[in-house]
Amino acid sequence: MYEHLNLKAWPFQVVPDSEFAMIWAGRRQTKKQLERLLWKMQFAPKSGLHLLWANFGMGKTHTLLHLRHLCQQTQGRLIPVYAVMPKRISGFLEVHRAIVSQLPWDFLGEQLVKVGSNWSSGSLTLHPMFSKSPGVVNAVLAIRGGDAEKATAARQWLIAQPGLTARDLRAVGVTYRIKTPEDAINALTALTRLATFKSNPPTKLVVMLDEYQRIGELKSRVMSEVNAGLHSYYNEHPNGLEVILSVSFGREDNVAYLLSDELKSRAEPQSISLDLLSQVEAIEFIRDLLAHFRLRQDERWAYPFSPEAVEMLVKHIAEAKALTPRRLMLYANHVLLESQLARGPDDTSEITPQEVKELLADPRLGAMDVDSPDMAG
Amino acid sequence: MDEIWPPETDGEEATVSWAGISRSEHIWVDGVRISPYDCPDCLKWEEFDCDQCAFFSPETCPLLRDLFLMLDTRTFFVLYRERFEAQRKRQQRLIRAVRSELQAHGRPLHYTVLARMVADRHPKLRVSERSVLKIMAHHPEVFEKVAEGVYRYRKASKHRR
Repeated sequence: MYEHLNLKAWPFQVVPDSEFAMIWAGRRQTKKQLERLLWKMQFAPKSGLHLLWANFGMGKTHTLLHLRHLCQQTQGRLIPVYAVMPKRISGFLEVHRAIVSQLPWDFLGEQLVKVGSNWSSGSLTLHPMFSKSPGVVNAVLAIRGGDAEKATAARQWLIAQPGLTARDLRAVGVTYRIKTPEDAINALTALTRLATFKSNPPTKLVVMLDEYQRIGELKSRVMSEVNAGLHSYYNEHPNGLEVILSVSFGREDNVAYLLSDELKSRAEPQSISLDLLSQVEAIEFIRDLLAHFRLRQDERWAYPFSPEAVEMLVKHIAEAKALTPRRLMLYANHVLLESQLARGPDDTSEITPQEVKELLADPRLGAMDVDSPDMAG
Repeated sequence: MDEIWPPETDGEEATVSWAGISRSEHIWVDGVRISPYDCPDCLKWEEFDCDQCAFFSPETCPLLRDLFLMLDTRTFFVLYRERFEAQRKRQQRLIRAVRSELQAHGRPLHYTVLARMVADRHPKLRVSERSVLKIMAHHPEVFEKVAEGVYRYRKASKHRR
C-alpha cells in the first residue's frame, strides 16, 4: 500500500499477470467489444470462432487474461481455457497439448461423475460421447483418483506427451496412444463434450489460443495441418464451444494469410482489434489505471502526477514512439519511481510537467524500447 | 576466332547472379576475354579511339577487321545490358516489396506465407515462393534468417546500407 500516494498497490506493471488482468483501463471501444462478446457467448448456444488482433505492445495477452477473468465471473456459464500457441511446432499434436494441458481437470472429473450417474448402459467408455476416444474416460478417472503416479501418466497420455511405457498405459487403463492429429481431435472433442455436458445453465468452453500468429512461421504442410485440425475440432461442436484466436502483428489484414479458408469462413464477422492509442486515449488509460488503485476518492484524477505532467508524459512518448499501454506504464513507472527517490515520502505534492521533462530528458532513455514483436503481449 | 559463352560458374569474379544473368558472363575474341561490362569502347559507343583500347592493338584488332562482328557483338551487349538492368530493377522492386511486407508485419514469416502476401499486393512482380526465398537468402544484410525458411526484416540499426 502507498498511503502517501493514495494508491492501494503499485499501478504500473508491464508483464501480463492474472491478478493485474482483473483491471481494465482506458480503451473503451475494446472494453465494449469484450462485453459484447461475453454477452453473445452466453446468450446463444451456437459455437463461435473469434479473432483478436493487436498491434505490438497493445496488451493482447492482458486482454485475453481479462476476458478469462470475465468468463470466470459468469457462474460456470463460460469455462475459460487460456493456452499459448507453441513456437515452431511440427503439427496439430502440439496445439492439442497446449490446450489440453490447461483444461480444468477437477471440473472435468466432476462432469464425468455426472455423466456416469446419467448412464446405465454399462461401462462409461461405451457412452457415445467417448466413442471416438474411449481412453479419455479412464484417463480422467485416473486424474480424479488421487494417485499421483497414475494421475501424472494420465495427464501425459491426454496431452499426447511421448515417452509413456506400456506399463504406464496399463496403469492408466488405456490401450492406445494419442499419436495422430485425428486422435488428438477425437480426444479434444470428447473432453469438450464432457466439459459442456448437460449443464444448467448451459455451459460453454471458451478456448483462447494466444500467439496464434506463430502459425505464420510454419511450413505450409504444418500450417495446413494446424488450421485443418482447429477447423475439424470446431466443426465437431455446433454448440458449446467458443474459440478465440489472438494474433499480434503490424497489419491487421495479414490475418487472412494465416487462416485457412475454412477457418476464415467460420470466423465471426466482428473481430476485436487493439490498435495504437491516440494521445487522448493514452491520458484516459492513465486516468483509469490510477482510479483502479485509489485508496480513497481523490478529486485530483492524475495524482501523484499533475494532469499537465500526464499530458507531458504522453506527449513525450508520442513524439518519438507509438503510444501503447505497456510503454505508457514503463515511462510512468520510471517517472514515479525516480521522483519518489528524489523527494522521499514526505513530499506529497504533485509531479510537475517540468519534473517529467527533466526525468525523461536523457536521450538514451528507452533506447532499447523499440516497436518490435519482442515487446508484444 | 574463338567465341564461346562459358558456363556462368566459369568466371573468377564473385558476382551476384540476377535471375540467371550474371555480370561475369563473357565471350572470348581471339583469346581475349570480353564481357558486356568490360569490353573495348567500340562495343559500347559509336565514338571510340582505337589507340586507347586496352584489349586489342589497332593493327591486329579482330573487331576492326570484321565490322559485322563488331556490330553484332555491340548489339548483343546492348541487349544484354538492357536485360541485365531490367532484371536488376525487378530484383530491387522485389527486395523492396518483400522488405516492406516483413517490416509492416513486424514478425518473422515463413517464405511461403510471405510469397502469398507479396503476390497479392504486388501482382506486377509475378513472384513465386522460390523467388521470394532466393531473394531473402541472397540478401542477409536486409533479411535475417531465424529458422529454416523463416525470415524477418533486419532492423535499421544492424542494417548495412
